[in-house]
Order: sequence, then structure tokens, then C-alpha cells
Amino acid sequence: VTAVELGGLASQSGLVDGVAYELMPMRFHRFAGGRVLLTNLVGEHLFVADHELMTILSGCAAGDLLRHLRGKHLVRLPGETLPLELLALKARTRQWRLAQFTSLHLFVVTLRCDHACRYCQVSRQNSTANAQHYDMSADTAEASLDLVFKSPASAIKIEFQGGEPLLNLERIEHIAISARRRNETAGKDLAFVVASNLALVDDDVIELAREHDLHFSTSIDGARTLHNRNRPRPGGDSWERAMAGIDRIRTELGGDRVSALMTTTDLTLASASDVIDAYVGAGLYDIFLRPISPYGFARRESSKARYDVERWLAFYEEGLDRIIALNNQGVPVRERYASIVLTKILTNDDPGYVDLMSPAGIGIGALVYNYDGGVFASDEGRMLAETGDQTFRLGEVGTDSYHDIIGSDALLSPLEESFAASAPMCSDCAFEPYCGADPVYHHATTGDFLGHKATSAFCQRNMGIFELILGRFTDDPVARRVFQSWVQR
Amino acid sequence: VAASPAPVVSLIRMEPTPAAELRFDGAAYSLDALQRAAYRLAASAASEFRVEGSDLVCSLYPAGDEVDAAALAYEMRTLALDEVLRERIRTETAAVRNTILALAFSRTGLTDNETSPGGTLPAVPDPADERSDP
Repeated sequence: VTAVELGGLASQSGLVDGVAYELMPMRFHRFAGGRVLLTNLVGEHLFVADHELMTILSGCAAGDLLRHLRGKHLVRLPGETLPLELLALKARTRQWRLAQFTSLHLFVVTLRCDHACRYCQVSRQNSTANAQHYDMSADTAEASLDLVFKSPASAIKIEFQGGEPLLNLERIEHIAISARRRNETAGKDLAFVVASNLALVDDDVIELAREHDLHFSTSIDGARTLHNRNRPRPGGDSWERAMAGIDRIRTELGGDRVSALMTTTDLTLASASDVIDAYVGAGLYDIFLRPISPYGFARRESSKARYDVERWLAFYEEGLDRIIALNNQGVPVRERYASIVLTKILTNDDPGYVDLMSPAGIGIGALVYNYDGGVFASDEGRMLAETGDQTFRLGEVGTDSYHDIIGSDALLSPLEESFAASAPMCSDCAFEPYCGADPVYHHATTGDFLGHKATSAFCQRNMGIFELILGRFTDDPVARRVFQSWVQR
Repeated sequence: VAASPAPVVSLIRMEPTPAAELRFDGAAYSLDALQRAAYRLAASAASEFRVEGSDLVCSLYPAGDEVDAAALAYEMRTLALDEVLRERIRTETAAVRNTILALAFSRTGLTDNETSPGGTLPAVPDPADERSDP
């Protein structure tokens, strides 16, 4: 078909076997093998054959094809209003979080850390460094909480970060007590998470966690050898301490009180299956196969930890297939990134994962309160600042008001400039409803908030993941059943 | 004091040779569609356009040294045709798209002077109302 022939196609509607229809907003993406993915305004999808795309656009779809198209709101019959109303309802539902900003608040209670991880993204200080210089003060914590409780979100999650936050247990306790006291009048759904390597878990930590219902998020990079190589600490026993901490939290506080994340390095890419087997062996059934970030001090490691998108996608594919196979054997393990993406593909809910939000999740999805009182639009923005780039520093606690910070150009400019629905290539991308805008990533890698989509590793990686997941979902009945079970949790 | 002589500057004009030149019928392809296709191709080649009569001529300058000009030209033509399709969809569905989005986001309480209807998204307080600094 040539463009000249296209020019001769019916303009608004077709009429075949007495059935006329009108095109609804849709986007398409060509898959290998002659298939074309169609997505509607809210991301509901349909695969058609290559030649059927032309049939559809020329107004000649009929029979089962036409029924499928109507079912996915890709076409409507003249005068039908129900498809418009349903799409509007679904579009509105997908954006419900916009009115609920900001729900995640990260407190960097110290920059000190007992680890010296090879990919560390912040300018961590030795655990023996002067606490006065690198720990969050009581005044800074109170001023930060003033901002937290200005947020319109009905659910507030406070995440303690570092460094290693357990090195400043006193401040964690102070913040938890003060937040709960404030919440007696605010009445929000308040939760606490400690992002810790768990090496310092002791009786005091367990008691504090019990008293304030603290949850833990830790780092497990894979099997013992890989983990300890990635995450050196005095004694070389990071993995052993993390496992001991996980066991203790599960035993004394409950099995749901701790989860783990991994960071991928060039060492990890050798075998995704080894990582997954290590998680399952440790009784961890939630796995997040993450790429290494390009932010902050991690960039300094680029010569050692660099790998390209294709290698990472091959790693991810191996890992996802291993996880699907384990599920088929009755092991209920889940890959979290795929689960987030599938929720966006198969439902009208948005899990609110900051990297896959548009408008971007910075600021409106999460705010970071640094140990020194700086407020950042995201943790990655804070990491950039540690290397001297203050682009995403929104203001200072105790000095700038909530209005100053949320309405600052430092936040609004990247949100506006990176909005995917109006970005080159993204606006026509069939995956746009599943994807997000990441102005911090693109600023860090290209120097502007929007980035260049044709060369963006963020874009290539996510498109590869969307193709992989949709391909498995469509072609593999086992994967389809597993994926549906993740979304229905 | 005698003025110093002006420095002699010699300019060397570099005109790279395109790996491929494609001619598109301006009646069948819009410049916008071709530019969108060129953007998608940008990882492989930079593009330059000029108008010759009723035609649009696209010069492709490859990003790397190893160039398969025929493959590059094929990809550009394929992308261009897809962009014509996308342009067609955009044009035909613009009105209904705007209608759906207006229907979706009217009366959300997200803008000033709106009443928040029952059963819809909660209204967001005006941050200015909560300003705490003097």
C-alpha cells in the first residue's frame, strides 16, 4: 500500500455489509512476524494482522474483526455514545492519583553508612563520620513533617532512607512519634518503611518497629558471592547479616514486614536464573529485576558497571521466563516490574509507580527531605545534587512554604516539558498508556527534561519490556495465566 | 601605536555526503509526517529536507561509519508510510478524542471555582490556603 493509495481511502467511515463505523483514537505498533498492536485511548489492546490495519483504517472491517474493534473502543457505530462515556470514565479512573499528591515522603535521616557499595548512588559517609554533619536534626525533621502533612493525599507513606537509616535510630523514632501525633488530627492512612541493609538490626530496632508498625525494604542482589561483592562492608558479611535480619523480622514481627529489591550490575547480567533461585531459596517471592540507575555517584562507575540495553533486556527476558517456569511448578514468585506494567495493560488502575507516571511522578508522586533540610523532587534528584547538580532541589524545609515548593518552577518545568502525551514519538506510541515520563533520567543522561526518544535508553528498555510482556501474554497460555494471577492479587 | 593586523581566518566548508536521498510526492506525504519519521530514525541517521517543486526531498546522513544505504532508505520509507497512517488517525479522531478527554476531566475539582460533585475525585485544597510562612 502506498501513501497515494491511502489518500483514496474513505475519509470518516466505512460501509461494508451495511455496517458503517467511525474510527476512535488509537495508536499502533508493529511487532515482528506481521502483527500489529492497537491500543485505544486508555491502553486497552488488540493484536491484528498487518493487512488488517489497512482494512480497519479504510473503513472495511467486518465480522469478528469489527466486533473485536468495537469491544476495545477502537471504532464506534455512528451515533453511539456509550464508547465515549466508557472511555472517559476509564481515562478519569487511570488518573485518579493526580488528585492524591503527594503520598510518598522520603526522609534521609543520615548520610552515614556501614556499607561501601560499588554502585552507591549517594555520597555516603563512613558510619564513623561526624553525625552532626551528616544526620538529620530534630528541627529539620519537624519542619519536614510540617510539609508532609500539607499534602492533600489521604494516604501518607514515610520512608526512612540513607545512608543507612538505622545509624540514626533516634531520629526515626522521633519522626514516627511526631507523625503519629500529628495524624491524630489529620486522620490520614499513615505508614512507615525503613529502607535498610538490615546489618544493624538488633533488639532496639525490633522493638521500635513493633511499636510504630515499621516495615522494612532491603537490598538483596542475588546469591551470597555476588551480593557481598557488590556490597562490601567490614567483615564482608553483608549477605549473612541481611538474611539474619530478614529472618528475625519475619519471626518477631511477621512475614509481610520485610521485602527486598535488587540492583543489577554487570556482574549480575551473567545469570538472571541464579538471582531468582537465590531469592526463592531465601524465601523471597517478590523479585524486582531493576536496571542500574544512571544517577549520582553510580555514573562514576560507568566504566566498570556499564552495559547496554540489549544485554539488560536479554537478562530480563531470561529472568521473566524463569519466573514463569517456577510458577508453572507451583512456586508463587512474582516479578514486580512486570506486575506493575501488567496492571497498566490489563486494568484501568494505575499502580502509581513513579518511573511509569505521566505527568512524571517527581514531586507529585514523591518528595525527598534531605538530612540537611533540602527538599528534592525525587530520590534520583537528590543523588544528582550530591554530584553538584541542584536542578531538582525544590527548596528548604523551614524556609520555603508548601506552596513555594509544589508550585516551584523547579518542579513544574520538568513536569510540563516531559509530559509524554505531548512528547515527540511518545504522543504516537502505542505503549504510551503503559509508560511514563522520567525528566530526571533524561536530564541526567541528555541534559534536558524531555530527552531524545529515538535514542533514549529509558525508551528502548521500556519498549522492549512492553513487547516482551505483551508477546508472552498473547502467545504463551502459561505466561498468560501467571500474569493474570499477578494482576488479580 | 599601529593597530595589530586582523587575524587571517580561513574557513573550511564541510559538506558531508548523504548516504541516501529519497524523493516523496508532496501530495501524498506531508512534511510533518516525514519529519516525524525522521525523528524515529534519528538513532541511525540524521535527516535534512528540501522542497523541489511538488516533491519533498529527504537526505539521510548516517550516524555511524558502517552504512547500508539501501536498508536506511527502506526504513525511512516504511516509517514515513506509518506516519501517514498515524496522521490520518489523528486527523479523523481529533474531535472525538477531545470530547472524551473533556468528558473525563470536567468537574474533577482539579481547577479553581469548580464544585466537586458527589462520588467523584476528591477536590484538592488550594495550596495557597495552607501557606504557613508569613
